[in-house]
Amino acid sequence: MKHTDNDNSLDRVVKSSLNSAVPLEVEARLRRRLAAFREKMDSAETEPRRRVHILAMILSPPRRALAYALPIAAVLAIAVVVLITSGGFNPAKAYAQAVEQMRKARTMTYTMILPQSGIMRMPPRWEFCYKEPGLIRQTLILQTWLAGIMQTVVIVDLTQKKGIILTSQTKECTELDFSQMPPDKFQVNIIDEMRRIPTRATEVLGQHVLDGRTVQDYRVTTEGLDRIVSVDVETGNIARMEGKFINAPGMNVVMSDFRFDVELDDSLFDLTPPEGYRKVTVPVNVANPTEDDLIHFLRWWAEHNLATAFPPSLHLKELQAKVAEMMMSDELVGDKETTSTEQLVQQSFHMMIQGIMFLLRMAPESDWHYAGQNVQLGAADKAIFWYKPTGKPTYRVIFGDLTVRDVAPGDLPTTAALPAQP
Amino acid sequence: MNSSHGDYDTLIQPIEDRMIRTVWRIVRDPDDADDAFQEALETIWRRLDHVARHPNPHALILRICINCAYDVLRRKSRRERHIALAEISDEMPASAPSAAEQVASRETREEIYRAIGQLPGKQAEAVLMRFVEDMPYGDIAQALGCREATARKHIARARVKLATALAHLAPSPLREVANHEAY
Repeated sequence: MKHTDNDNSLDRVVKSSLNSAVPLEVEARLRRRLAAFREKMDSAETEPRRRVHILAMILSPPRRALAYALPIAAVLAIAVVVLITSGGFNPAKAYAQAVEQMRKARTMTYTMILPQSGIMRMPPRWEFCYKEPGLIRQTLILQTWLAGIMQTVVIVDLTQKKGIILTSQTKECTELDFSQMPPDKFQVNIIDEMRRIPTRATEVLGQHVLDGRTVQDYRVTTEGLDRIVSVDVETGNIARMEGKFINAPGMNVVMSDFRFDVELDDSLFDLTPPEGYRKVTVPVNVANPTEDDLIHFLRWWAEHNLATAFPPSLHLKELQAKVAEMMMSDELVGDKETTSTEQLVQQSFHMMIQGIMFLLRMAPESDWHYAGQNVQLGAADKAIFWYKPTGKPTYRVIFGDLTVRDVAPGDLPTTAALPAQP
Repeated sequence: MNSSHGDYDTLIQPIEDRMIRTVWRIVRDPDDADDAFQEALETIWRRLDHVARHPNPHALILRICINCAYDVLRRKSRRERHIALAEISDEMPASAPSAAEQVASRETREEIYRAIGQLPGKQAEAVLMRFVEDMPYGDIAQALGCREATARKHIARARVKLATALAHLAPSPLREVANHEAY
C-alpha cells in the first residue's frame, strides 16, 4: 500500500480537525496532576534509592537542557520557593520541594535586575506579577544616558490572547493581539519556561552569609544557562538567585523579593488603556505575512548588529536571547544617536514577529531551511534560506544579498542548513 | 519501588507537553481531560516496571494517554449519544479557535472520531498516534509491540477505511482514494 497524495489529503483533513491548543486552565490542571504524580513516584522510593538519586544529582549533568532562553524566562526558570521541612534542613530535598512549590504556585511576584548594561545608567529593573490562568504584568524601569528614566508596563492576558504596552514617557498604550499566532508555536507564557526547571540541582554548593542570613547555594545548569539559587537555611525562603548565560559571558540576571500565592487584584491585569494614554496600533500584520516580511527581518537584523551578519538561527527562543545579549553589549544599538533603547527593543520585537510569522504560517511541506549563521549581508553567492511555496515546482532561495531566485529542487544548496522549527 | 522503575525526569518530564496535548486533542473538555489524564497516570503507575523497561517508554506512555483519552470519549459518546463534543467545545472560552480549527468544523471532528471508533483496535490506536501526535512509524510500532511494517499496514488500512467513511467531508482526491484504493 503506497502512501499517495490522496493519503496526504486525508491526513490534512484529519489533522487539521484534531489540532487544537490546550487551554491554559486545562494545562494548569493537568500539570498539577503531573506534580502529584511526581510526588507519588518520589515518595515510593526507598532510602537507599534516594541516596543514589542524590549522588546522581550531584555528580551527573542534568538530563533536560533548556538551551537558549529569553533572559527573563531564564531568570524565571530559577525561581523556586522552599518548603520548610521538619527534622532539619536537607539541602537536596529542600531544592526539589522548592521546585514543586513553584510549579504549584497560582500567583507570583518578584523583582529582577540585569547588572550588566552598557547603555544604561542604572541596571534595568523588572517588577513582575503572574496570576493563573495566564495573567502577566511586567513593569520595566530603565534609566538610559539618552532618554532618562523610562517606565514601561507590559500586561498580557493569555486567555484572551491580548495585551498592552504602557509607555510612561510618551503616554502611549500599544495594544497587542496574539490571536493570529499559531497556538502551538507561539508561546509567550514565561511561567511555562520556569516550570521546566530540572527538579534536581546540578550541584549542592556551600553555605555562606548573605545580608546577615545564612544561605545554602545550589547550582542548576542546563545547556546555555547556569543558575545559582540561594536559600535561607533558617526560613527555607529564597534569598537570591542569579542566572548566567554560558554563551554570553558577563551577561547575568539577579532576582529577589519573591512572593508566591499572594493576593493579586485583577485590576493589575486590566487591558483597558489608562486615562490620558494614546492608543497606538502595532504595525505588525501577522494575518498575512509574506516573503518580504522575512526579508525585511533578515535585513533589519544584519543592519543592527556590529558584525552585519544574519541571525544565528530562526528559532524564536534563540532570537529572543540573542536580542537581549545584543542589547546588553551595545551590538543592537547601531544607530544610537537617533534611536532610543526602547524604540530599538520594540523594533526588534516587531521585526522578529513579522519575519517569524511567515515561517510559522508555512505549510508543512514547504521544507524550509535556514543557513544564514555567520553569513554577512551582501554575500550574493551564499544561500541563506530556501523553501518550496505551496503548489510550485521550484524552491524560492534567498541569498546573502537578499535577492531571491527560483531554483529547481535538484539545484538546491548543499550547505548544512537548519531544518524548520521556529 | 525497585531500581528498574526509572524516574520521573527520565520517563515523564521529557514528554509532559505531549501527554497534555494528546489528551486534550482527543477529549476537548476540561473535566474529561482531567479524568483521562488521571486514568493515564494511574495506568502508568500500575505498569511502571513495564513502562520503564519498555524499549520506547515515551511512545508507550503516549499510547496509554491516547487510549485513556479515547476511552473517556467513547464512554461519553455512549452516555450522551454524541451530543456533547460540539457544545462542550463551545463552552471553552479560552480555547480560541485557530484558523485551521475554524475550517474544520466541530461536526467534522465528531465524524472523524466516530469513523476512528469504527476501526479495529490496533488500527485506531495507530492512526491516533500518527494523526494526533505525529509519531514516527518506528515509535508507533514499538508502542504497539509490533514490527514497523505492521504499524504501517495498520495505518494504511485505517487510511483506506477513513477515506471511505469521510469521503463526503473531503475534496475530490479523498473520494477517489475511497473508490479506487486497493489493498
